[in-house]
Amino acid sequence: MNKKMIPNIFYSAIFLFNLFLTPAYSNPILVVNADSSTGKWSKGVITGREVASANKPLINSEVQVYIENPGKYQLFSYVHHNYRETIPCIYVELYNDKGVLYRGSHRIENIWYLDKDSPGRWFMVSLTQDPYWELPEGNLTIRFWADAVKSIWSNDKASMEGGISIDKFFLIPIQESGKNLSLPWLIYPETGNGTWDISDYHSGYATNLAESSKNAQMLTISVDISYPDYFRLWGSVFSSLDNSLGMTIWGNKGERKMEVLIKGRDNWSFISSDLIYLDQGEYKITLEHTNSNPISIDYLMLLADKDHQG
Amino acid sequence: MKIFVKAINILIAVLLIFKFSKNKVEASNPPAEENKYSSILLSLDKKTGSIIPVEKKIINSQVSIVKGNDLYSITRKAINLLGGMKTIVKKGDKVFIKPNYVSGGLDGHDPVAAGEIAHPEVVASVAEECIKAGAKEVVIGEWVERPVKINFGGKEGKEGAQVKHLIDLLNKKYGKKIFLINLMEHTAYFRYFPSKTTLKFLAIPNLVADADVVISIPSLKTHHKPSPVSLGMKNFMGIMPSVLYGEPRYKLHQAGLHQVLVDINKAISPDLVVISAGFGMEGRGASLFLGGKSVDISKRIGGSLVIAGTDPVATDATATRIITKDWNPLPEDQNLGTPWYVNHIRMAFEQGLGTLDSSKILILGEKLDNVKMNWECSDDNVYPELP
Repeated sequence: MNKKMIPNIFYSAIFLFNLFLTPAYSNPILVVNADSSTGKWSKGVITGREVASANKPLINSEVQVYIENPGKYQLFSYVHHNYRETIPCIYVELYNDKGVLYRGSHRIENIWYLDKDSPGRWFMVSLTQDPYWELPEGNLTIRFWADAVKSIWSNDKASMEGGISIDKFFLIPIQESGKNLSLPWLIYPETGNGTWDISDYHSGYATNLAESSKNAQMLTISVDISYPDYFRLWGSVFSSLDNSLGMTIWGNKGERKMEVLIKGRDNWSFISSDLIYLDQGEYKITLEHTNSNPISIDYLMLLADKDHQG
Repeated sequence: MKIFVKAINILIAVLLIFKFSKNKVEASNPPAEENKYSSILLSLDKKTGSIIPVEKKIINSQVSIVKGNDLYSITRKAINLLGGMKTIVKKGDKVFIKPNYVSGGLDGHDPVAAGEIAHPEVVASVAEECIKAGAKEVVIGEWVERPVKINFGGKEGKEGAQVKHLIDLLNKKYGKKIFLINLMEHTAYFRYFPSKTTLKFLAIPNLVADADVVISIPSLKTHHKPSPVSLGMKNFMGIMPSVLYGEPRYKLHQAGLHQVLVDINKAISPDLVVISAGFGMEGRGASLFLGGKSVDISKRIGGSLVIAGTDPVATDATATRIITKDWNPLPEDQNLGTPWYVNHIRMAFEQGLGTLDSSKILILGEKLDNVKMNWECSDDNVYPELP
């Protein structure tokens, strides 16, 4: 063989590897309850969610999380407020035994558009200032605090109109496939078709949701899978009595069925399904209420999970 | 063996071209027409065997301007002057249309007559042309933080003043192929695209990033600082996720709005811009709430306008020329004109997204001088944005 050809073959092999063989890669999500925090934020329940709350500026609390899988993450938080005039802000600082790794924040629009007697609204917001944070393996502390500013565009501080409450923190992994990066987003059940009742704003729970109170009510939602992997469906669910959901994920590449049992609670639960393998493509998720106890779903997440590799 | 290596390299070149096209990282499919504004060509270096991107120079752009009273039909005419929708949408394509819907009308006024939002007839006409050209589905969407019914009907103007009523009629006619959605509720994932700003990447909703064809339908408007105008390129701020960038996307403003706008348009590589100009907004746009003033364009020039082009820079530059007749100062090179002093239009031009040079833009339909107006600039010293 001509020696000059060797580099060409080598480069070709690298190209082919990049094009075809680089697998999609994603860590599992990490979910941290804010009410497990320590510090000056008070514990309580807001619209059926167990939360940490603050109504004074700059007091802080902390939660711990262990990063088992180092990599790129976005930090999200499910936040409630009832501000009409000023802008509530959440701040975080991530640190470990080597010091502060990252700082982030998010200003949330006030809810001037809702009726004055409404109980505020829940927001899922990113606290990650950058496109992602590269988190190392090991213990990590999330320190958080809040305040208010006069407008989105102003740094002038305002007095806090009321409490700011956090339900959960989510470290959502960035999906990597070669050089391509992507970030999964929520599935909103109210976009589905079927016989569940849809509420664009539920004043009791201060959010948009889908609910069912009859056996065999169906709801079908479209989902898009950007790369093949094992997935787990997560959901924010309210059911005061024991409940059950049949779940079918179906598309051109087959159908997977499973049942999710939900233990009754007085507050919202965060549930998850078994692992399922899905190829890239468009799917439908059909939820069948296999019980007659009332159930509400705020949001779902279909996220890659690599437990199967263990 | 030589033949084998050559064959492998050719295969790689073909696959890379396909990959670039799919990802829309730098550009969309290589253009078939000469008036396409940008493309990435790849050449094979025979000495090293490596693949080298070659930037194609912009040759020319066409922008159509049609005046009339029936917005639905003049929209179709404006597209036909460009060669028709079949030159843009192929059979089986998924199309994403981004009208400018902002949040106008929340307090009960009609945002269409206010000039805040793209006219429903323009949006519906574009959607119909897409379906007639063979589109598999047409998604019309905007990222809306607030509860969806407030923004797509109900309080917002008259019931159905939004495009929904017309879309329902089209879906009855052609089968359910057109969808009016809130991106916040229908996004499965965000794809990251490079940004020259401190953000390094921008997250674009998959329904836009993965669409075969992306169309921008803004309303003709001036705008408060930091942009003198809000047209086809700026319209894409409305696809950006407020869950990441805040409402109203203050993190994108902090990162440098002008470059962000260029980066978004590089990522999306819009295929068509159709500017709705039945009503528009002058002064401190982009809404009545902010101090903008409604303009009934037919009262100024005797008819409504639709301005369309496949080059987003040329289309925005032409629309800017139309509403800035007496704006000063002007650059020495008169081919550059007022668009040169609109940062994101100039930067998009400098970074190869299209042309703002009037000598390289062929105007089809109405003569530019016949439709030029002198709209009130925002009063916050937003113009000129000097280089």
